[in-house]
Amino acid sequence: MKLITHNMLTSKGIKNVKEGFPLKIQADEVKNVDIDFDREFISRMIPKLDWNALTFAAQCVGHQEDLPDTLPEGYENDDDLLKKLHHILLEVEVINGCLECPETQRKFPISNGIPNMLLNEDEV
Amino acid sequence: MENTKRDIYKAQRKIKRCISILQSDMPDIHISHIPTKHVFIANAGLTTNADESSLVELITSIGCGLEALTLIPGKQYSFASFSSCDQAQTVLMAAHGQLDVRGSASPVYMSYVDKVPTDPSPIQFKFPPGLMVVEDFISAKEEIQLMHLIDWGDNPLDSAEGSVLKHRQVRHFGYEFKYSSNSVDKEHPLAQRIPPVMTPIIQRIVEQGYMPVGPDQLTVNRYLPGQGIPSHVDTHSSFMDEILSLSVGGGVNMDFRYVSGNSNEGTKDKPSHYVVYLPPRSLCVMTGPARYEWSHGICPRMTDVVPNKNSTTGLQLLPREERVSFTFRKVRQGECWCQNASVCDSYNKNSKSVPQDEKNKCASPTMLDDRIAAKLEREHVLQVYDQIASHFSVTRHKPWPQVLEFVCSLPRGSMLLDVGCGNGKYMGHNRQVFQVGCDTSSELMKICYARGFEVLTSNCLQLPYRDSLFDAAVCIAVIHHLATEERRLGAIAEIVRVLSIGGHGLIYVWAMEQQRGKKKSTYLKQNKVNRHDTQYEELLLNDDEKLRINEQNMRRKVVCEGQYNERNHDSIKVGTSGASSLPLHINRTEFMQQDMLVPWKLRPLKKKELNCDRRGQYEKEFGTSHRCRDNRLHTNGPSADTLQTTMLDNTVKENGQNKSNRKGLPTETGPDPVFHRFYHVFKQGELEALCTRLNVNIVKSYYDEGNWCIIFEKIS
Repeated sequence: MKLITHNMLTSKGIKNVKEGFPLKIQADEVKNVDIDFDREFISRMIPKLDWNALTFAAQCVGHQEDLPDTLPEGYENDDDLLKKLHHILLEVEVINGCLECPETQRKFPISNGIPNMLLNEDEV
Repeated sequence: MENTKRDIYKAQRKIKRCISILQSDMPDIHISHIPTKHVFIANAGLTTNADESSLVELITSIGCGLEALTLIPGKQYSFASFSSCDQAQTVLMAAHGQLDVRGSASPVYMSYVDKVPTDPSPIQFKFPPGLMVVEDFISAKEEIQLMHLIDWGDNPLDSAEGSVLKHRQVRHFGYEFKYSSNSVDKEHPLAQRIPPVMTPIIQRIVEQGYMPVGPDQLTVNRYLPGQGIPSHVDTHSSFMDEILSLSVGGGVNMDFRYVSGNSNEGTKDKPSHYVVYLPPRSLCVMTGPARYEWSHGICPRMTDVVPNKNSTTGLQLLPREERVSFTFRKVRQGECWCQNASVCDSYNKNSKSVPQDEKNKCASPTMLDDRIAAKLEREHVLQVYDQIASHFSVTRHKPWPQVLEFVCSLPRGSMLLDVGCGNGKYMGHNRQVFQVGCDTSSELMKICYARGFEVLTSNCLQLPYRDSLFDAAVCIAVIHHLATEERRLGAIAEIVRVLSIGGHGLIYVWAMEQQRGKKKSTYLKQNKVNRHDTQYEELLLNDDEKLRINEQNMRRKVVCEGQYNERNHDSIKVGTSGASSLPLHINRTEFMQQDMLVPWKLRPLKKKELNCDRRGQYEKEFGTSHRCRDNRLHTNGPSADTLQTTMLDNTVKENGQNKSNRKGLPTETGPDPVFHRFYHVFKQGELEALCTRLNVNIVKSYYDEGNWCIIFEKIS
């Protein structure tokens, strides 16, 4: 699971969970992969993301990389930042571990790179 | 003088009796002893053969100021409204007990009333759900031809297939329709087939989509004025969904009554009797509830009250004329799966061993218990895909062009979600977008991950994504695996939820109609090639020579297998979750029903295929999947003889097993185990109907190779 995916995930499918976001990451095994840097792609992706969840995720996996607390203006021209974000979002992959619902602490396992977000019938 | 007194006395006695009828019929209408504008005409109404013109004639012969006539269907009385009380009084004084309506032997009896009924129609001219009347389906010329098609003769008993029923004459073609049981004897078709002269009409029926395939049973009824047919529901197990009635010569009112006795379906809120006028040359198409849950019949009468927008009452009295009806049906192979205990013979036959409480849980076809539906999907979708994942994956590599076009049209930087992404067939084609996929099958997700795709395991009914996130979503061949309409709608609603405003969704579902006009879908066409163990999504490389060589062997197999399946279709039943028992589809044939189990014969993967599959990453890097294709084509499967034996073995096993033990997953390891996936195939319009219930604009809806497809945009 890439951290960009984490930014999209919620556990609000669970009964009575309101936001279910952001999920806490417990990373037991993390891998770095090499992806070609695409400036335009990454700058178009950034406004779609939740910045707080992004820094939270980076923190969870120990890749905070001095990210600013808020998304700075003119980020699209800040190559240094874009490359950092490229790395955090696309190159860091959680292979094993789990995601945790912030409201119910329900854990969703990540095994061999794949989060299992299936809910039991009595949870929905 | 004595006579007049006696007449007045008689008139008072008569009107008193009629008033008591009126008061019980319409308690909110009150009699007035002083003149009002409204007059109750007690013994001249639609059932006494009085009509607008005869009443107008009577009233205008006395005075003027008539403003409205209110005729009540099924009643012997009517109402006249005048512009003033004086005018009403003039008419009443002159006519009450003294004048008669043209054609009537006795004078009219009248009384003043405070008002006239506002809704004059206790009979509702409405269509039950699933009913359609196609006006002018045939031309006047064809009508004449059809009127003379059958020589009813002086002696109506001149043909073995014809008979005189109590109220009408009838002929049967293809199969004899037995009125005693509203069914046919499937084992004994008639020598007399549907006459070739009907072919153009049948073609039109299929081309215009009123039946997915041509009928094989035709009943021709001749109704003389005054004749009718008792209300009945055509037996579910005998005929397919669509029942068509073509009216020739005369029109008639057909009565539809809701007969499904589900106790929770209150009949108070849900009127149980609708009247539908079938004009001459019209085609009445009964499907769904109108065919399964409503009875239809014709009341023996000389006249019909039919809607007429041009008359003041909105109604018109039509004398009946000789009407010949052509009823087209398709005999069902196998059982009906509507599960409506009160009307379905298949359901009752199959559920005898089921405990009563289980039976009640799924008493309605559309309201299959959600819990049971989830179980059905778990056992007959999720578990099956998990077990066939590798085999499934090697048969799925050629993307459908129009889906690919949608995916590739997305601009750079878009976020794309693939709901039910399977082996990732539509992933990785557009490198400019960020694409994520999800599926319930963890085995398929492993395959995707190995191919380098970003995926997770989730149910399409609870997508684990934030609201309004994706610029686009595709959901290909997924929704048809959900067992209730509520769940199918729920899955689409989830897709809409995660789309951003203005975001586009593309959905493909398998179509009930595998033949459009004369064009058969690839799925059906593959019957000839008969790659039995592949599935409909696959587009075959038909230019491959090896396949052709193999084809001849395969053809032999089709014949044997086809015959075998046909013979045993009724007996092949696969136990499923809860109480349900679903019919089994025969691959590469027309669908006989919307809900069914579709077999998947698991062919063990050859070494090369396994390698190929595990080397997904490798394949991705080289773009296409030639390797898989080549490998697959080398694998010709068992010989025809072996397959035939396997088929028999599996069937025997299934039939021999205890129902409760049968989960659709083979318990024994034999060669080529067969798995059964649940499918609900969609009828034309069904997918749009679901989408229109959501917050979307339909951009495009179309038919693509045996699938119904829709592109929609989230609007707010």
